[in-house]
Amino acid sequence: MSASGRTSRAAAPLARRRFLAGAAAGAAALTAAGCARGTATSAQPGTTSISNDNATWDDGYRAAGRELKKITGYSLRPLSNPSVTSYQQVVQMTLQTSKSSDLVKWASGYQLKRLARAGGLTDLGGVWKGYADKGWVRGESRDAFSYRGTVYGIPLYESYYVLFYSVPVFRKLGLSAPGSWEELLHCAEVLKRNKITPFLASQVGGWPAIEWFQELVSKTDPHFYQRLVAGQASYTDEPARRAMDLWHDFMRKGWMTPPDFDQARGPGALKEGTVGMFLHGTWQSAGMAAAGLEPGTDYGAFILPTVRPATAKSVIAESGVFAVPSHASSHTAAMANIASWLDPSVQRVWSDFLQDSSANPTVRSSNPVVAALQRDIARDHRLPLVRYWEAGPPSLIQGNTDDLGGFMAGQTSPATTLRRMQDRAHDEWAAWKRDEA
Amino acid sequence: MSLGRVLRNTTLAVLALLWLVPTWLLVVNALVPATSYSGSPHWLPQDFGLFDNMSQAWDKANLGPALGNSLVYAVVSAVAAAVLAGFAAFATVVMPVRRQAVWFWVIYSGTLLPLQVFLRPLFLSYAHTSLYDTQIGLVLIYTAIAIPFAFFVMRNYTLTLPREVVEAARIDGASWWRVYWQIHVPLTRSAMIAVFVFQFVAVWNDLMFGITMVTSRNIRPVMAALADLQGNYSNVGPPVVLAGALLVSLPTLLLFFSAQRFFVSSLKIHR
Amino acid sequence: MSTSLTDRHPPTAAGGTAAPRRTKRRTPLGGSRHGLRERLMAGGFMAPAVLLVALFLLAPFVWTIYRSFFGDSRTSPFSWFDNYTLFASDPALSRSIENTLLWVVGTVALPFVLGLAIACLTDSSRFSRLARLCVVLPYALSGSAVAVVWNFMLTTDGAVNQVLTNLGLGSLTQGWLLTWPGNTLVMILANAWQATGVAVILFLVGLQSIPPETLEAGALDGATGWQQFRHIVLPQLRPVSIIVIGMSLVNGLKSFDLIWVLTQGGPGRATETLAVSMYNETFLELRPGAGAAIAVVLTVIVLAASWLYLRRQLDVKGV
Repeated sequence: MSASGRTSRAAAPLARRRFLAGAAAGAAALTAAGCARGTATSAQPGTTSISNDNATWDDGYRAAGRELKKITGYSLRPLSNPSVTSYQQVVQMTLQTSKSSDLVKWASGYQLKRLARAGGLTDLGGVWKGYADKGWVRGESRDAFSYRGTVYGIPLYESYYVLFYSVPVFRKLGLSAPGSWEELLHCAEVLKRNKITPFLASQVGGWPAIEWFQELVSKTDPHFYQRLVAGQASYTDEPARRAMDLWHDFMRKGWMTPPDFDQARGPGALKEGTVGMFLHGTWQSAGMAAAGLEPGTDYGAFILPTVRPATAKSVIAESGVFAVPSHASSHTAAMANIASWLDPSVQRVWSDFLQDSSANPTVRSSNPVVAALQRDIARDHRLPLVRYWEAGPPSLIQGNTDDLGGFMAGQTSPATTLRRMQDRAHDEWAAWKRDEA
Repeated sequence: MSLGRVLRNTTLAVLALLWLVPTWLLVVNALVPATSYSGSPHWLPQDFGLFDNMSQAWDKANLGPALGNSLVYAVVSAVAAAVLAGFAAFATVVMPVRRQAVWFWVIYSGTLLPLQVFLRPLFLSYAHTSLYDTQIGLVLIYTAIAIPFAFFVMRNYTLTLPREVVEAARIDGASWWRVYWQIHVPLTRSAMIAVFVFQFVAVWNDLMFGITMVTSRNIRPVMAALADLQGNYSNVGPPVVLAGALLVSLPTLLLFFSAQRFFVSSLKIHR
Repeated sequence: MSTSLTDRHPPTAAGGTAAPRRTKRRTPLGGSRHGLRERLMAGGFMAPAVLLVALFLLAPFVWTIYRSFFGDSRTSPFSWFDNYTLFASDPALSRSIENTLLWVVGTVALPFVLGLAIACLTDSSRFSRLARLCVVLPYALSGSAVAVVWNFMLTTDGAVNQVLTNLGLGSLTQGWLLTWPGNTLVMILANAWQATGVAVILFLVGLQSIPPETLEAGALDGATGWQQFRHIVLPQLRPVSIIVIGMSLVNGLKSFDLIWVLTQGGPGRATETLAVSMYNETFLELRPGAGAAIAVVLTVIVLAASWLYLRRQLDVKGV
């Protein structure tokens, strides 16, 4: 070591000590800041927390919560998770612990059954009966919200699967909402001739692949659809094959958008006139509004006509649910809120926010397009069918959705796709029944 | 200018332009005002709606506290990882440790595991130990994930350093602690800074743990907040999402810019 | 060149020459005479890192191994290696392995070659700094920005097809994300777009530590630019190359984020890699046992690949 090195080394410890002191102070400050706890997961008196997977509905929950507060004294506090898969994981993993929220948004049907099977959900039979007596809920849909006869969920909303279309574009081409299959084909041909893609079909995100499948099968034969999703009919039976052939035909004629077309672009595409008809749930109305489309003047909606005129009319309906975990920190508050959720004053606010229809049949939608659909469904006595996503064991649905996505990308023929779906159905129904035993 | 130099510059220019294309698209489409977005990507800028889009993204996703949170997470985890990995690298390379290879693999194997593997077991333990939805919980995870790669880099760098200085200091009677801070750290400074930059970016850009391990708005990291704009149900168009994404990328961009200058400042190779 | 590392301090008249380096085996400093106290100190230095990694990373993995031996029905019975036989029976998993191999090759080769090229082609001029910034910038962008932008470019009515049509190459347009193996290949390119920046920075750090005297000595000996590169620069970049390749190898095998945001492993599970399959099985198909088995197989592959590659490097260093 040279002499200069030695003197600089003597000065170094002092400088180093100061540096270390500064670093330690900074670290302490940061760690003190880092000791913050999340405010949302602790119980807050006067509110009930809701876990949900859709942050765009937070304002709606809060508005509905203000109405609820007038009735029960508890408002709603939404905790949203932006990823659907992550959300499902978090809910399933917290259900058995005290960290679960007071109310949980979930899907109905078999999704709810699977959640209930793990234990941890409160029996809501009393609440349901109260609603049914007042006529605030459709009694015949009880099975979609229960598991082994016990009700575990209260419907959150009720959406229908329809085709949205742009009113100005249709008017310019001399078209109107089709009432029969022939009219639908005519609309598609006219649109195609004018270089507008007739139908929007997508498998982006995975689950949208079921939308055309469920529509075409149910409009070919709705009773077959019911048997199919209950595991009592085969995917290789004739109605399913006819539906898939129709779909394949549409794709070959270039009537459908490429399967990597993101549905989030749907409202914009309708507005621009690049797509003619957009198959989606009526909860899309909020997205239409956000794109600047007015119901009635800018867009309308109709339910897909049946393939043959004699076929029974049906509509695919979707309802999310509210469930109450047994270990919720504010359990009594949650039970009070869920017992008043379908109150018309609350549903009025909620339905207006969603621009969709409420699960309470006495509350009419304020969106004229949706209100017209509600009248149409009631007048034609349309058979309500459960959405495919909730209609069977989740593993089966997930696997079949992957197969449909592959079909849309042209990987398999209709016959091969159906055969694969049937093989999987056979295995998964056996697994479900085994787990039920 | 020699032919070699011209060739070199042209190749560089072509590569740089190719790389720029996606970034260009990103910036141009973030400039488009949200209401005039036509549904398909724009190539040329027309109007300037960037600040509108950014403020929309800021408000809708509530990015303010989230940015502060991410800063805390990224800085604390990256610094902790660099320091702890530096200690460990020093220990396994310089200090007398038996079976150095074993310790290397114990720590390095942490980087070989797919991150999704940790999600479920860590979540369950967090839920039971009430570390769920806390800042310290997230910091611990980020630090643990950052250490293996930091260790790998630090160790490799340490291996290239000469032993003689350390040996001389030890013979002079300096303690290991002294040797570490006064001799080793100044020598490995550039590696530590590189490690800090990488881990800062990795933690800043993390989404998965941010949405699973915390759920409250007040401690959410910024990518989790931004994901609200992009979910399956979102009804904001791409311009707002892109503007938000640009906004939250600014700190990492700044960090890269300044780190680049540091790395290049002492580049002495003469060509 | 055995003197490449010890020539860091050029021999002076005053100071002693560097002690001869034993290239075979590193002896721990201080020998064993300081024994326990020395080793305890070393342990103390290592303890925080080892503890954090063991608690947060290794323990969950051990739990995953344990889980992989149990079935996925409600009672989760002990099922030996049933979950592992899925690799033979499920065609989606075979496709997944093919994709993982493609990803490994792509993520090791592309960023390495491009990163090295760019790091060496640039110097400290303004123009070079700008070019380097263009390449390094993507690494700093958030995952959501990258996802949106590449979706813009690669969807059937996206930017790439637009450009091809405008250039009159309409016949080359296709669904880039829809058909296999094209979709895996374009995603590998998208990944290289981001990952090259890291390689550039690491190679810069490596280039920085090459003493200019070695290059001058080579030039004096009459070596041309290319020969200088091959025989002087490249060997001294070996420590950094180890890091770049080791890191790319692991990232290639674990590739998940980009695939998930662009195609979710679809359509029809065609673009899944092992990490995506693991996620799909555990969180979407709700079969954690199968997912755990895939995770174990993936980790074994990554471990084996890393060990095979790094073992040679570690041996040279004398560990």
